[in-house]
Amino acid sequence: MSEVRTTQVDLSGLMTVLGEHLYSTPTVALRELVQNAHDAITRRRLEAPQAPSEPRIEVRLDRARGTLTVLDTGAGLTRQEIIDYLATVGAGYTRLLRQRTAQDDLIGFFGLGFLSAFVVSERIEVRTTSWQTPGEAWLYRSRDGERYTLETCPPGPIGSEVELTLKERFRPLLEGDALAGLLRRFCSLLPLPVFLGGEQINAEPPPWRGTLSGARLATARREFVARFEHRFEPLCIIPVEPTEKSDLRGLLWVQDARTWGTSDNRNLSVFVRGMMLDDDARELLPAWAGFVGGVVESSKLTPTASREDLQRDGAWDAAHEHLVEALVSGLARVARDEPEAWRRVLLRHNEPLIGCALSDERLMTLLGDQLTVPTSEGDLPVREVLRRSAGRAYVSLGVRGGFEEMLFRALKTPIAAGSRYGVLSLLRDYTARHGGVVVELGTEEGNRHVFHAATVSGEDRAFLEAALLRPGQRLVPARFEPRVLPLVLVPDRDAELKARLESDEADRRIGASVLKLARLHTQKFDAKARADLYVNLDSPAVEALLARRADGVEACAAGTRLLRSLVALMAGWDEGSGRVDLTSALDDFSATACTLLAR
Amino acid sequence: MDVWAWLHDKEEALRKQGEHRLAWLVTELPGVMLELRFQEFDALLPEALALARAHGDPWLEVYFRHWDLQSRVFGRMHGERALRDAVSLVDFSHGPETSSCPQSVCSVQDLAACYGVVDGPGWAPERLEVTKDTLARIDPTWACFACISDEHASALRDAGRTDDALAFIDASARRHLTPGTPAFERFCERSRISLLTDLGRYDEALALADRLLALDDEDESKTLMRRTQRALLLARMGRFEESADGLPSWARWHAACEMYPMWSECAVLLVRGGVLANDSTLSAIFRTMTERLDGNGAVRALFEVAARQLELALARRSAWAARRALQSMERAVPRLRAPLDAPARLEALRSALAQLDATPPALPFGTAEAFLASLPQEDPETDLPLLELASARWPDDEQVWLMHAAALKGAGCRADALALLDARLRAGQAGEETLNHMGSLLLTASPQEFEAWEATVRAQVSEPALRVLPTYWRGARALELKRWKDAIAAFEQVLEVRPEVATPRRFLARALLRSGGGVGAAERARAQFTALEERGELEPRDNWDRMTAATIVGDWAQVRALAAELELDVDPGEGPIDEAWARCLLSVEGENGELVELSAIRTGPVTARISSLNFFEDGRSRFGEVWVFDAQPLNEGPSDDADEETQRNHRWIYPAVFQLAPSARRARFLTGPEPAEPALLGEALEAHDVVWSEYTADEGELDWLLAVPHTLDDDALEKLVAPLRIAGPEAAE
Repeated sequence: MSEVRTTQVDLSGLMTVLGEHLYSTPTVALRELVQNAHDAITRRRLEAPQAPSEPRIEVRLDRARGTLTVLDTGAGLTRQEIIDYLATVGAGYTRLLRQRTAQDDLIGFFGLGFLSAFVVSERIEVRTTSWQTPGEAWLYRSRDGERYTLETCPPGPIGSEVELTLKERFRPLLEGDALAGLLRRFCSLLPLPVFLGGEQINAEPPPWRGTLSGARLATARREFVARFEHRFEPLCIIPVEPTEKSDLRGLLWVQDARTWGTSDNRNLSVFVRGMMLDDDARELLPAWAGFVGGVVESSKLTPTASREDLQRDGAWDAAHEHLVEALVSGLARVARDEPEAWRRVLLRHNEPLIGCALSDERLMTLLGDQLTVPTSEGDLPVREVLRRSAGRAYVSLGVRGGFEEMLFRALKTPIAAGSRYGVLSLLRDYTARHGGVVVELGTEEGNRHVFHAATVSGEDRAFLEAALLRPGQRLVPARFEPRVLPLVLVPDRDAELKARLESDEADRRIGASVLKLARLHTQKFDAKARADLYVNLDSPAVEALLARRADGVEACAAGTRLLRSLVALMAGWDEGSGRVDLTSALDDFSATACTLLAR
Repeated sequence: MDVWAWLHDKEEALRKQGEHRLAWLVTELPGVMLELRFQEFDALLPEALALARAHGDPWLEVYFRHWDLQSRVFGRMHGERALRDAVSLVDFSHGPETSSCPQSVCSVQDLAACYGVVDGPGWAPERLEVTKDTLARIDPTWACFACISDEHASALRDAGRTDDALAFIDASARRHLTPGTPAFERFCERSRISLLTDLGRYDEALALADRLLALDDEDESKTLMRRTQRALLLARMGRFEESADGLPSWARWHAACEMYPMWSECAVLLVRGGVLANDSTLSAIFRTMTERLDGNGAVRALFEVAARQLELALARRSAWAARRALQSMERAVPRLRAPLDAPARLEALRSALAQLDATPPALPFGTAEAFLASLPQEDPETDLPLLELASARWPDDEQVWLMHAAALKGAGCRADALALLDARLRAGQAGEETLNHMGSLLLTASPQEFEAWEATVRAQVSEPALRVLPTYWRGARALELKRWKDAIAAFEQVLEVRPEVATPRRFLARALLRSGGGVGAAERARAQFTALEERGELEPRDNWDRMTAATIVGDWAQVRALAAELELDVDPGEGPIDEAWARCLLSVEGENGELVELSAIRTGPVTARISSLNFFEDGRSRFGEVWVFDAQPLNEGPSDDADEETQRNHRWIYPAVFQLAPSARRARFLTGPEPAEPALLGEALEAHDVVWSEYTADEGELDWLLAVPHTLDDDALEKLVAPLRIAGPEAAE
């Protein structure tokens, strides 16, 4: 008996969608067929528990004929089942069965699985003998999945045999070990034996399902990881155990390739009901874990229609949180139990670990003392930065440092590179926990830490002002290191902003209504001076100047001219400020030098 | 101008110029913000700004600073706190080099929104004016059209013009979008849902929220806002269970202050609906919210959230929490530009609190002692009202105020705890315990805060034994930062005044041993232990430190005696102990003060010899160095549930404190093609006492790290390996 039938849906166009979108790689087709075979065996166990059968899936490759065959000892299909399920889009028997039995062991879902095989095949033949009708067998043949013939054939053992004759361009898949490697990964968690060329390719259960312990478990874990991680060596392996909220199980590992702040080498293979569903589920790992790889399995995660990705539902959220927890506690365990591995983790991943610590308080506790930050004196642990500068972490935020920065460099005080990834955030967090303070050089708040306020008598102040100040400057008596530095001029950024916004020129460049809002804010600023002149009372030069107060400003003219030109020359490093007249400063400097030399 | 097109071209140009990092930041930063990864955003921003400036591109600087304000003003509700930066960006983005930057317009929105965060209704007229002016200059093809329109709608809503706001959104959307399309519904969606909710059109609002959620946009901030708005809507509709199910979890999104106003309103409704517990957990959440809003200067939101906090506190009859909420509201009112009904509401809640205070809980105890003994000490918020009463009843009882301070600290109010103790200090009542309690609260405070306390103690306390206590805490702070010299100086000062106290003496001894001060410091440490012994105040673990000190000075007889006391199995005899004990790791300082852990073998109770091959600066090897270590390990023991193998492999990490013997070797590498018979090379090296290990094992390549005895110079080593046809030694770097 032979008949020609048409699949009960219009397939024109669907195959293209399957090929190009839904099933983005031809290898998915192979995965789907193995999955169908698995479901057929599960189905037979459910429907005919008494029937003797040795569960077995076998994949055969015939390079000469260009065929790939998948055989199973499952339930097989009756004629009606072929018509109802094999050839009806979206009506996979698996779904029906899962609804009926609430069976979690079934993998397939959408009934599209079989059709995906047509993406890679020029012809498909299915020979099947159902356990329900062991006396009859059926041969299904189709070239496009749309029209097919169905005929009887001599009955064989119960089960199905699906033979794909691959399209020419997919035949290279049959060469070499590519397909074997692929199958090995796809099927490594499948509980039923899968054979390729007579050899069982999933004989070893994943290490978390076995009963190994100690060194043998460690070896099994390393070998298992090697199947999935090709680019990196694992520095340490972290097991994921199920919790109350999530059934995730598997392994995570820290890769050995050095990473930077925002490197993202995350890779995660996710198995759902024993079958690999997604080999790039990196989003399931926390964003900070750019140096982590993993393999996990779950029966709760839901595949998307493409069966290559996971739905972002409650189970996904729970799995995500589970992995965060597993990583945090796992890293803590490595730090405690595997100090040498831990040291390598720190060396390779310092920058991203800063990101980790900032993202999770527990990791900050674990890592805070071990992370280093780049400074002018080399990479230093935060604690060391604080130790070397009496509890103050000096930070530079600019590309070109300001004057204070040069000062500290000269004093060999480490200045952390605040513009590097996470440095400023880490220092702030660390000092909030352990004491100390972050001093951002070049900011008003930072200056308060650099220049210690001091007081002088009214007479001294008046004298210093008359001797040293220029228009727009305010005198600030202070004490600071090094003593040999008498004066420092620091711009008042608020006053500068206020002056700019309140000038007539601002009316021309900024809209009236927004300027009004901006001015409402700047009107609060005190803008009598545009810059602060810090006078170092510890400086011998300033002491000498004050000692001559009684002689009057004029008598000290040569000395003050020199001091003022020093201020101007140093402030001149701050490009484009327009605050100092370098030419007149140089004139003053050289005139004073001439006076001194002439003596 | 199309900002996205500009951005796309900019990114491409940057990549062509080799500025990959900057190009990456240009595309990545907005995404990080939209996914609400604020910590990461803050970690990346300084780098982005520095690179933009170094690249000399003011447009990019405008761009990054705008996104910084987006993250702060919108995501985290920085109001007063961000005003200066918002004003400064308006100035910067309207300069000659930046005025044609497509994002200059956005700085206007940032400033308007910032004022909106400070006090939306108060600044509504100015915000309307600014957004109206801006909208007159742009059209819907501008990417910022939607944002400015949203800001305008939000200002209309704050001005109480709900219908106008909804009509405005509709009209603006219709200018360029087709009604019913996702793009149309996304336009000003947040305002639209809020406005529909305000108008009581719950079903429409809910349907819109559901449609938007179904769009499954990957933008986390949008999804979060949609979910919060939806939960609030359901709560207003009385569908409490559904609302509670959908309300985003506080733990995950607490950094996104923008959801606080809605989240807090929803929480109050859920409490009223009986599906959320009005307990100390919820109270702590509200406290965090008000503290952050206060610090951010989000004044209107602070007032509203604090009012809800107060309502919940009154319902729990927690006068303490209610008073704190009231204080937050009091701080907010004078900062509101337009107080509107705020003062009246504040008054009403103040009298409600007064009524609660009029019926204080009973305190049926005759003595402070009996009261303290009965205090449950489980939930600080429950204890605090009682402690306030007790403080009033027994104002001079140090134990009562100490417990009060401890409860405040437990409730997360460290500053209040300090203030309470500070008041006693200034009243001249602070005893030893109070000062020590303050010191412990200030252990990790900023230097200024600590120095201010020291000054207060100097001014208020005359008794020398008490005046010296801040110096003890100064020492403890130095220990925390491993500033050994400062710690030593502090503890010595303390002991001059309080020679009888054991703890500073013990700390002094430990700091001396860790200070790297060699034999002299160890002798001084021994003197401290002797003093402790004479006073009968030695503790068992002191014996370990005493062994460390004795080893440093070479008093091996004492090391043996102490080891015997600790029941350690040490070979009898005289002179240095050099046995083969367990493997361990030594934490030694590298060239930059960084700590490096090296494998070592313990040679006695507190000594170990470095056993791993390594290389340091100038080809230095530390193989064979012998160190005295501090017996207090830096790591924890293996976990109890660790398997046998882990237990067996566990190695303690000890801080190395004094070098007993230097290494007699230097580090060298051998690299190159593998010789035909590597075994011969190994034998040759071994014959000359060179220790080696395969460093990496690339196929056919040799890469060995050596520890070469100083007796074998580089020429001799070269001669040794040359016949084996491999390249000569390289100094390890």
